Amino acid sequence: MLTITNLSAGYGKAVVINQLNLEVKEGEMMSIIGPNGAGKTTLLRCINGLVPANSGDITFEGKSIKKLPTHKIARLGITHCPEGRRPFPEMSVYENLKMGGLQLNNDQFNERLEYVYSLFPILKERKSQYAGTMSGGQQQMVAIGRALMTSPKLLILDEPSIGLAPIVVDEIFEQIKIIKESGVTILLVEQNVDVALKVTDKIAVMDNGQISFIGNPAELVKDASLREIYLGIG
Amino acid sequence: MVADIIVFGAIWTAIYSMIALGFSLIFGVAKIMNLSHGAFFMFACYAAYYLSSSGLGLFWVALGAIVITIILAIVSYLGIIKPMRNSLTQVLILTFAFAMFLEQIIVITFGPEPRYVPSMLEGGMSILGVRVTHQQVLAFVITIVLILFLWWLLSRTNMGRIIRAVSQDREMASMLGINAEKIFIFVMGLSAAFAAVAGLLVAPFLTVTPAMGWSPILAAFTIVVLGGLGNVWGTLIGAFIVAYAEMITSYAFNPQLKEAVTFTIMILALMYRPNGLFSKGVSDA
Repeated sequence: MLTITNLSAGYGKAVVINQLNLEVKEGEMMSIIGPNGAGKTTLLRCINGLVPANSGDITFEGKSIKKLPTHKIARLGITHCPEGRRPFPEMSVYENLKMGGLQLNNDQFNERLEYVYSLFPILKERKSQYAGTMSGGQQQMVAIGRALMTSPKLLILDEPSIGLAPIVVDEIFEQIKIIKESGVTILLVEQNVDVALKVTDKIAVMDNGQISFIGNPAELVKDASLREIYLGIG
Repeated sequence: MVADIIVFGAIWTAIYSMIALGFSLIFGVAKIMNLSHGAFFMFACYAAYYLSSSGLGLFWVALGAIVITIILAIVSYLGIIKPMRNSLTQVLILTFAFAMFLEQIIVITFGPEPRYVPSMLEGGMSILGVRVTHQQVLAFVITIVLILFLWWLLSRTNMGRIIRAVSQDREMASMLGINAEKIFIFVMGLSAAFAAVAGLLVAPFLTVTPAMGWSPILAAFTIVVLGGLGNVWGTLIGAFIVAYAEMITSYAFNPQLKEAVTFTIMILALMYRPNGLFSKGVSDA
């Protein structure tokens, strides 16, 4: 579904992504882990057209999206739920969800809204509250809910667990699992390896702008050196 | 005298609100500090003067002047502002220069002498014992209606929600499929339309001159400093303060001091409340 070949990108002279290759298949959940500064967020921003690619290619459903502007990439069905959640703070929960569902007609919108409310009932209860006044976990639900309103084919989640209490992280990953099982392809970037391993189909390790390991969770656990670095067990 | 201040203060609060809202809106959404906003106001007055002297009816004069001003604003946005948009300072200098350029074009075309635009409504009436023309009442009523329209647009329609989303987080909005560039063009047009309507409404009771745009832009600038840039309610309160300060100065002291008072308010606001009257305190952000 998403194919990245020999991708290089960076900011000015700093190369952040270096000849990277990655494929995400339809219906699968891919998680990228790796140390800070490995280029994970840059890779996601590159997929979304927010950071220009210097060389290589990114294709989505067989079509190159490398040169498309961000809003057109989004309309193809790639929705990015970025780091820091970024709800529209001075808009209500409902209005935030509305901003996700702009391409839908009324019936589709209402159906989608019910679906999001069923995943995150708190959003229905708080639909008139300004998103900026909510807790971190609730803002994350707004952000994921808003992304789901677009009916994405590929959902990109950047560090959904960051800054949240463990119990809230579990709750959110519970829903991510349900979303995955409903057939949405997911590309996740996550520092919290334990929680990612529990739901993901495939895991990729990113280091210095490249993918250094790719496999399923069991293979990662088997690899002694990776196990030590990412799971902290020798 | 007190009645005069109350009545004309209210009329100018409405007109200043309208001019300042357009100025504030394009800043809030696109971070464009448009110093040619006052020149759009002036331009619409000349467009109305030109169209009415060619014998068109009132409706066509108004519509024509508004449309021409919107086109001018969008062309200036695409041609000169957009390439520089990432630098606030460059936009500031550029739009200032563009305002001067427009003024010169008008001087060359129509000459420096004052022009008069006929009133849309003849006659007058008395409010609280103060003589006001029907044109002034019309200006007040239409501005109030358009301010309510803007409030409705921003808070109750999808277009308004999109405008707010872009102003709060442009990048996030584009990640949801919103074309921010289109929204900037729309808001630029809307902002210019507000300046144009304000111009059309007040032109009959002001003298139309090539430099007439500077006084309202000064007022608008002061108003948004008071109200906080991009803040609709703050803008209305800022307009109220500036309009009444000017009217009190005009009626109780000397009309010549009007703009000096506006400047004084601006300087005091920048010194003590640089983020607006309603900010939570002074910060250097």
